Amino acid sequence: MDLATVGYISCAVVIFLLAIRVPISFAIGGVAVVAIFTVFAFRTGTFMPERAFWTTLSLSFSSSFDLVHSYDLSMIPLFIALGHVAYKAGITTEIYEAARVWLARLPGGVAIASVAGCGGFSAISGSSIACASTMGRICTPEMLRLNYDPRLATASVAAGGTLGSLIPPSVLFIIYGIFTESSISQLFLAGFLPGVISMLGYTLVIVLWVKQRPEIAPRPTEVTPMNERITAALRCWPAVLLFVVVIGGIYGGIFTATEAAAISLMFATILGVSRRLIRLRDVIPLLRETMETTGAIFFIAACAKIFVALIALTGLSNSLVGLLDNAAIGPVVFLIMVCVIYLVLGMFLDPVGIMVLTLPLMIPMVESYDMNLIWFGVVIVKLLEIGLITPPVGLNVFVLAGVLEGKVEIGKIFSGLWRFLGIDLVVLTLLVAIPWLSLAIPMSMN
Amino acid sequence: MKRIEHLLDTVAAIAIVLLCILITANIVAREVIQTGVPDIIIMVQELMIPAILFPLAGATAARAHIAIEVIANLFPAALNRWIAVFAALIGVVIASALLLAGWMEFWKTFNSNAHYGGVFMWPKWPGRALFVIAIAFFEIRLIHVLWVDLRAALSGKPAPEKL
Amino acid sequence: ETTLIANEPGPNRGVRAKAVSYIAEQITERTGGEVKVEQNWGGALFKTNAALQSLGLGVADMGVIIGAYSASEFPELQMAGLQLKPAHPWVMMQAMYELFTTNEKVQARLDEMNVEYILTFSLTPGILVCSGDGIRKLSDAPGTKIAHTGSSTDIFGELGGNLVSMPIYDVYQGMETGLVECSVSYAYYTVASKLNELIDTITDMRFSSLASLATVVNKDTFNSLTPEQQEIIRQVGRDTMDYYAEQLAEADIAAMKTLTEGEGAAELVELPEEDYARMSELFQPSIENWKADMAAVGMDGDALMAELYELIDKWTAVMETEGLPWERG
Ligand code: NA
Ligand code: NA
Repeated sequence: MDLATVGYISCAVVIFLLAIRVPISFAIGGVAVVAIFTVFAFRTGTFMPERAFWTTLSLSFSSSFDLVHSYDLSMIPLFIALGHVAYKAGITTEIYEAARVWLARLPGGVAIASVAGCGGFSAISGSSIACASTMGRICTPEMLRLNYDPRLATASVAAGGTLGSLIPPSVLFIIYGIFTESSISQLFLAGFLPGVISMLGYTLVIVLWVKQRPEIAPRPTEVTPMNERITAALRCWPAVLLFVVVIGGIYGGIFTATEAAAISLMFATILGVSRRLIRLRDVIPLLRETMETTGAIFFIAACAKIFVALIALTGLSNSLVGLLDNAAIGPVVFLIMVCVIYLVLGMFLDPVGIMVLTLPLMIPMVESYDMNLIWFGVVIVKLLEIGLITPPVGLNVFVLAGVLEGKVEIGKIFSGLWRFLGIDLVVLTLLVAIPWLSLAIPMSMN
Repeated sequence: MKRIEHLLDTVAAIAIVLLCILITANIVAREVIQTGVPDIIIMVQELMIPAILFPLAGATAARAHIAIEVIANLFPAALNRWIAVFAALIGVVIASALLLAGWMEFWKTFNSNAHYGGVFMWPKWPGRALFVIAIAFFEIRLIHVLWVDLRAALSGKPAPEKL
Repeated sequence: ETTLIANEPGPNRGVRAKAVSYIAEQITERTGGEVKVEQNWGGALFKTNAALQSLGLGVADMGVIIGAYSASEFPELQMAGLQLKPAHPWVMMQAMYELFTTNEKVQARLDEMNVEYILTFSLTPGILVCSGDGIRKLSDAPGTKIAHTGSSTDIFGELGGNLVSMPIYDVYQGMETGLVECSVSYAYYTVASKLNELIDTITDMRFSSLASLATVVNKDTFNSLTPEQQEIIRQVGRDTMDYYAEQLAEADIAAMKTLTEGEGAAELVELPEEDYARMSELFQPSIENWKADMAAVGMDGDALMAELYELIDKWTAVMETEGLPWERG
């Protein structure tokens, strides 16, 4: 049997296992371990289990251990903890109070505020997962409290979380820059406008959805007087201060985007303690509540990493990208096929894994079409971001379900997302068709 | 077992506090005494192991591993009980692979001079040992879940929500 | 027909990536397609820190080991990652190659790790690139914010520099925001990562050409090949070092030109002579640590280093009398 076929079968088995309610991490990791063993055992043509045994163990260990044993990813548990602490410290409720009284007249006002909040958070964090987990802990419970439809309350944040990598700083642009030797600062600048366009697109989705079905986002009946609205706005100072400190720290050269997570958590804790909303001895019990969620989410990511190793071994991504190389096609068909391939891979694999597996083959082709690598990078990152909210493996959705501790079912989140996916495809088409949208800012800076 | 898991979760929470303090101290030290905390990257990496993996046992007991339920909700209860057994079995496969591999790694690093670079030249085995501890309790809990779910599937009664 | 699975931790960009591709092409071509190489990039199978064990077990058949990541497990390789006496990159590769293919103790250790040594990669000497005033003498170091991306930066901590720990790919943004002022880099990498847009000075630290990167093949895989195929792979290894050294030299010259000529050129700075002497003192502790690591694996550090130094002299003489291979008419 062809190795790539093993890869395709593995994906099919993952879909099947996920459908029958096998936990996501077990499904991905289990299939990966068994398939890797099979690939190694048949390496020489005959069945040789003894060598396959140790190689499979070693590969499973190094994939999962290296994922967890990471300096860069330390920001994710810290940001998940931040969401929890900020909630207990009253910081998030105040923003929501303000959003509620100010945006009362807007259809789905608080959901729009959440998307905007995701945009703001994206400016301090380079990771979509961190964005979805923090904002999910902050925004969604407040929307549920205001009786928003759970689908709207979750889907808006899962989609908003995908802004994390388009708006700088961005881990994905850094990796893309390394693989293409293009300027990371130009990529950062290029991602900004597409990020804003995506944000406007999500806002449009919310407005249209709520117009069509007003009951999913109940509006307060009473009109809040101006002085109360101003009071509500003024009470947001802790959140504003946190944001200013973090933005100032990153862009003022005091700390890195990775370190920002620790500073934010420290800041929120001190604030909560000084306002007597959190007692110092409650900090450990408070954090303990978030740890099982963090563990479950990371275990999915660790298993996904083993799955990436399987895809590398089977050469599945090579065989997919190879379809492009063999066909003599024009640039338009090429771009359409690129989109299809990344959307398919995005169904199963994490963004970093996809880049590592595909860019080495993809980029020479892009260069042979004489396409702009900065613009192409924006298209790729947008595609990878879409993959975070497509079934069956949608990391943003899983992360959100995790931080909500099962309050909203995954299927429900996915069912709320198709509208956002629709607008994402529209934005994607715009980005592909009009390179100016990505290149205007970086060009004007030179 | 509950008590051990409580302890594991507490250690994870303490690890998060340490991460937060270490990274903040590093930034403050850079600004105030013009020098960072030595070996900060290695210390953060090592702390990530208990912070992330220690809570896996508790998460398993609380059935907090995320799954997609839409389709399975249409299945008869008896089928779902057998699927739960099957799922736990898959979990045991992964956990066993990681436990065995982790043990090998631990044993090798423990019996050699393996260490990181930097100022303190931290040995490599403690991180591996923490990994093994985390996965061992995860696996024990998984086997427990497997046993409970198997009994439920055989007897036809619903399995307990949490263990 | 055999397919070798190869794992490369870095991207498929840059001089070394070219050489990695060259190995794959040459093996396929010279075996008439009997042995093919399936190349993975970006550590798709495993990262650098797991490379030694993974290659020994056969997770991949071929790949690179970096001394700094297995300094205690494979100190013989990390020897060339220390600050030794300065030598040309090509000389360093030849010297390490000869040492690793003739020294019986090293070969026994390679057997123990279940890998077949193929070739060594060398880097050009490190440079210190800074935005702003830069480092003109070692007494400028105290308080200067220097990116701490690996062990070569350790001495700046000793000198009172303000080390800012960060992954190498964060350096650009760090320098842009003012989080760091200086970073140890390579001429070629400085240009590739666009760091040249931000820097004002380049200090020549007279660092060595590090040569602690080795490509190895899993021993079982290697033994399963025919003697002819084994010899072809060995020869490809030797040829790749010449191929790579030529590319490296060209890229380094081009990069230095970009860095030091034209608009926005950086200023080249030399330290006072006594500062260079002070630096080699500062490197002593790391050499002592390395000797301890050598002793822990049952090797005599002094003896092996003496042998390497002899080989460096031998190959320097070859370079001086015969010229570099690609410059010989
Ligand atoms: Na961002
Ligand atoms: Na997906």
